[in-house]
Amino acid sequence: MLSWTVVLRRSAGWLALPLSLGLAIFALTVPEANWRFEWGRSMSAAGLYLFIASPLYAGLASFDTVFWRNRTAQVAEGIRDRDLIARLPWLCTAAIGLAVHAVVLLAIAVTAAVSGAVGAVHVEIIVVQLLSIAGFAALGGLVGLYTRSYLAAPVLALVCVGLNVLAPTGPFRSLVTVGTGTKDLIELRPHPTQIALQVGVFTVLLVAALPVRLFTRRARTSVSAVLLAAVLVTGGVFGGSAQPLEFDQAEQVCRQHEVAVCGPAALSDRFAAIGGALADVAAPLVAIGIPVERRFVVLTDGGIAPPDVRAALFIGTEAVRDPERLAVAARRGVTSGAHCDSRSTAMPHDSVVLGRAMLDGWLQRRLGLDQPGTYPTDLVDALEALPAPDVAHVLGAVYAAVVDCAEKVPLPGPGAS
Amino acid sequence: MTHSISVEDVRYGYDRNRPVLNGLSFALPGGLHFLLGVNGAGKTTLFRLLLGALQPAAGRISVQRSAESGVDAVGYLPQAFDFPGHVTVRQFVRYVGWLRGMRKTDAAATRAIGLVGLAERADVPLKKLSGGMLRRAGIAQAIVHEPAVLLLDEPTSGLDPAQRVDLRALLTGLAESMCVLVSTHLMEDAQYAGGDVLILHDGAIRFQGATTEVEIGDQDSGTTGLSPLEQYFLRITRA
Repeated sequence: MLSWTVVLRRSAGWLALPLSLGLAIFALTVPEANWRFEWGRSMSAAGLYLFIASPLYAGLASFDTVFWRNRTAQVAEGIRDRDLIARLPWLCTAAIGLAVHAVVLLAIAVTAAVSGAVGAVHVEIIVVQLLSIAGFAALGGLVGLYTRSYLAAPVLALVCVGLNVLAPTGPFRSLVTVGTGTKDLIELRPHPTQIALQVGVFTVLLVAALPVRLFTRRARTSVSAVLLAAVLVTGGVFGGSAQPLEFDQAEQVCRQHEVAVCGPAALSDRFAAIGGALADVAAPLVAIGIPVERRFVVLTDGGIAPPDVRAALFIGTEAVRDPERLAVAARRGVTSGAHCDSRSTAMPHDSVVLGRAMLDGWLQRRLGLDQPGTYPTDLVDALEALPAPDVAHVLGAVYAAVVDCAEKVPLPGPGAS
Repeated sequence: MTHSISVEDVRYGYDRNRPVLNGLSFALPGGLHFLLGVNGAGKTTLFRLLLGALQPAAGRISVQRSAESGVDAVGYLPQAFDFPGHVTVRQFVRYVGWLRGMRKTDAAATRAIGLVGLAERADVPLKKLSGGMLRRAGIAQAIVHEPAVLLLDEPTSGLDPAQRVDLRALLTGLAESMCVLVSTHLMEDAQYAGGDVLILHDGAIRFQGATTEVEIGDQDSGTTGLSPLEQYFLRITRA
């Protein structure tokens, strides 16, 4: 429709194009951005730049609305549906914002697919992101409906940025915290209440700002005002109470490979490789008769193993597909048991730290991965100076203490406790 | 006779104690009509009442419906308009047609642009038009929906003599198919374009008729060289 193209061509929303894409690229290329290995995190990462971009769209939509209202005021004198003037510009801004986001989503989807991302695409996160772009643009359109001042644009953008900055503590945090949470490994996902609140609020904004004749031919501006007030009250009352994220136990599965590997179903296609890496690492210990655990639970880096778990593999999705990093994680998994100390705030006893490090060093030497400086060489030297049966005895005792979550670990030589 | 515009005993004032229009009544058939009045006489207020942008405090206003149902009845050219300059004539006319509720605007815009003689410049941006052409583009947007009534606010203001002559000819042509009411303070427009004249003063119509019906009687001192219409206008407004 030509009227769209007339407004779209002149839309201030185009100003957001380089900035939005720049912000998106920046957000997605920061160091250690491991989002690409999980679909859930990928989709969340796609919304990171909306922190700034959505308020920007609100301001630009407000500017455009004021611009078209002011510049068509004379020829529109006496036209019954003058509200149409104000309700078209923000739609163009929203269209630009949605198109930009579609490009960002597509780029991320391609990157994630190429990286072999695991898990499911959380559609609700994408829906909220899209709704937030359109909703903020609608908010700008509504503000432009009530003022003829161009100052409204920067003021609105700053207010919206302020809402976002205050998001962690402010009353509107649940409304403007868009697209966070990962379900597949960290087992966090957006709280359903928050999703519902966001969808509801942004939808009301859209309805209030759309050029609809749902209500009445007259006083539609008043209807918009009532709906806008409802959004503010709802956001103020409920926005701060809903938690942005909630824990959600991901589906767990176990697979028997060289060892039994249990963990998130999303990673199950990598369990064979994980099991192989663990078996390779454990092989020197098994060879000297140490009963290494035969069941490992895969947990996300930084996680905490449940009390019934004796052996865990702490790993990120990015390391799962990297054989070198997987080998390091497997060695840590074998030598650290279930990282029992992570279950409390107390510091582990020195002997526990040293015992794990000694195990690690001994394994490094056996596996031909010797990296002096990453373990206490004197302790490992002292260990290796012992007769072979004693070595097996000491290592067996250390390993048993580690998996049993003992407070202290028996050590040989100068570091012994 | 069917009237395109009918105004009966209309009262309106921005201040309750100072009515701008006080018992205003007149009726206009199709054709060309000029609304004359001093600054502040209420010409713009009357236009806004006819457009429906203002509601009268008392009285009744009736305007003939447009040929196309569902769109606004009146076409309107403001004295000045500040439409975005990057928009072409065709886009401008179609945009206003859309705003007025028209479903299909392409053919209507082409017709309106042709009527005002801008067919060859239909795809030129507004910012590249001369004053006279811009005024024609303004008229095109005002007639895109084929209104029964066309209101023009000072359409010849600021134009050079040649442009004014051309525009008067255009208005005469448009008046053959609709009621055209032109607000102006340039009495020569009314004099040379023909049509009826309405003189608005003190909130009411003091004269309505053809310029040839003006009877000035004895010439007043100080009005030597003025046309009969100008002399009559001064006599009414200075009374």
